[in-house]
Amino acid sequence: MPPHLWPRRAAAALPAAALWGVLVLAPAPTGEAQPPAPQSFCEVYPEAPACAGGAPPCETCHQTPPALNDYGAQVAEALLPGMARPLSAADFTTGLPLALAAVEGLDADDDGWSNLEELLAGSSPADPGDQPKDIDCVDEDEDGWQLCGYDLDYAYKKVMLDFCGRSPSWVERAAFSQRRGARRAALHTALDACLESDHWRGIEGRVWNLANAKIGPQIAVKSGNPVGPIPLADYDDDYAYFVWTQIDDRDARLVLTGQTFAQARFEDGRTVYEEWDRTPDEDYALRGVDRYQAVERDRRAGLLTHRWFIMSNTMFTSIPRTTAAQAYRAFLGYDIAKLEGLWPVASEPADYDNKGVGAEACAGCHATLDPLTYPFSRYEGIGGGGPFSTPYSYAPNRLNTFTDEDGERVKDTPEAGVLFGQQVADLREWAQVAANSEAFRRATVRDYWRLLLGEAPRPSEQAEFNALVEAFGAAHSYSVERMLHDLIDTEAYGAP
Amino acid sequence: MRPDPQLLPRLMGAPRRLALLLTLELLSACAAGPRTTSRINRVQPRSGEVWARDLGHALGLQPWELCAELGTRDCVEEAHRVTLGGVEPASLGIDAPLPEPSVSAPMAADRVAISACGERYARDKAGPALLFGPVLERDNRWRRQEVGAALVLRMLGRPATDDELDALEALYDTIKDQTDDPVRSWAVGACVVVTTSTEALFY
Repeated sequence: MPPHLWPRRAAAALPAAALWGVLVLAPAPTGEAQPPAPQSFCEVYPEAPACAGGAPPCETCHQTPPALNDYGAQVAEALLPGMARPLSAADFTTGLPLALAAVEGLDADDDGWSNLEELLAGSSPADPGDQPKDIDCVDEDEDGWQLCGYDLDYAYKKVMLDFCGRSPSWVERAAFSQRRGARRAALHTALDACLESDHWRGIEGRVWNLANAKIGPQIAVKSGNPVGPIPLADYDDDYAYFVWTQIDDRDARLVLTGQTFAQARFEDGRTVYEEWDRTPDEDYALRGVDRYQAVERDRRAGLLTHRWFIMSNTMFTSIPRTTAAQAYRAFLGYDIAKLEGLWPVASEPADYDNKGVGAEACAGCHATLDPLTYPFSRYEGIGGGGPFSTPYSYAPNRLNTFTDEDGERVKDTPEAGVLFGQQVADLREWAQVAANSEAFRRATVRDYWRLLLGEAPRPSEQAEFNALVEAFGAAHSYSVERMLHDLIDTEAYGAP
Repeated sequence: MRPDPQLLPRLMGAPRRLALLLTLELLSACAAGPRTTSRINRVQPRSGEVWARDLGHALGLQPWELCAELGTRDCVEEAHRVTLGGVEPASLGIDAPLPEPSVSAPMAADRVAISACGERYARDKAGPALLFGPVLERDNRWRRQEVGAALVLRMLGRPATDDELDALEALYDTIKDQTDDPVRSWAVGACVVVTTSTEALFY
């Protein structure tokens, strides 16, 4: 039988629990947490473009989890053949690298490219219509564009469009071209000027809108101006703070670790951001019950403890898994719903709130998500914390008031949690670990890469992307603007 | 949207002429000659906001003067905001521009361009002229080429090629017998061609 026919037969023959996705999603009967297959994959192929985001997409091995695609089926067949299913977590982790290696030379989709060639090129080893591309550049005309390499004139036009929000005039383009040997410097001068534009940093500008998916604004429950019909919190605080952390060479980690706030106002034709810091009482007196920030300074952790973030995610829950999952997704780039960023903790999920998350179909993700969530559990949501609770504030004994709904054990939920396998005592430590992680650097750079290039880094661009990620935490000192100066120098940005 | 009774029905009712316009444009851009193949091959749409800013600059109009649906709703900021690549996170949950242009995006761009070009022509005719003065003074081939060159320079930020000028000028022969006001029809039509060209809408 030709190799490309193996997988379908193998898929039919193997027990479902042996399959990759099932191993991730469902625990073994013992309840032991299962191995993070995506992480294991990226440990074997760290240079694979699919791992640029920190974890490969489910579609690398699956059609729709848990159903495997042809490549996933080949891996499953090669995974510890002869061993009884379901495999233990330890056996899976041990066997996976060998299984991946065993099928590298096969061609699961029968398109003439081996599985390994496809993985390293960023195409799907299970899709014959997706093959490694190696396009030859041809530039035979004399239209002034340097099509086969970095083109400073092109990059200048792009900087003007991306950051200033307008095309350069003919006079500006001509003046730029005439700079000849000084064009590179002129390009960065233009970027500096455009970084000050309201198109880039203003209210509803590009950086502002970069926060849309992180903040999730809903006008119906907005307080402030404008105000919705049920004013619960003002997300303008969140937008202003986010932009403030991304501009003027500030340390972008403040988005998770800062203990102050920011406001944005339009003045003399441009948006001005101002940092502010008030106690909850002071802010209550100034802005009123529907807007004030209720967390004391020493318990703040950037946007994670902003009123809107807690209100819209924690709402009425004791153990606010949605809040932690959103923080993980928005700031670290891991979407647990897509099996990304799984770092299971051996003793979890403990299921303190009696939600049944220890069930087979749940434990695979909740072994990561629940310990990720505990540090968020001391921050009040909209309600549920008893008649004398203060919404959106830090309340160390908050869970005592949830016993009627969630059972007595909910009181035992620790405030300490685990992020990336590291113990954290509370949310402030959670935020510190997060902000100093490679995942944060990667997610931040990827946000801007997508904003400016319209897509995730391509396989051929991984080296440039990874260099930016590394520099962001080193030479750039977490300054988004310094990172952008390097980003516009990449060939990905400046080659037509 | 400001009415444009003379041009719009003809454009809407004459697909053959539109096809010819497209052909002319393509011919000017893709004339047989040297081959070019980008290795990067990454083309992005300009957001409606950015395109409208360029359009306003080219035509000497303020953003709110470009186009208003029903005379009240700003086409770019309100009526066609999402269609033209904008976002509406708070009320519609659209956090990022649509990954693929919607089917109505070309129509929205056309409506904005037709409205804005018509407005520029009306103002130029009332005087003083900013863009269409040469053909309003005396309409001939050279004057049309002069206007075409100004359109390309103002909207695309570069000099027009000879092929482009010939293609724009040729539009006149196509429409002169099908309109009561060939000067206006050509001027607004050429303006729409340039301002909705691939180069104007993408980068």
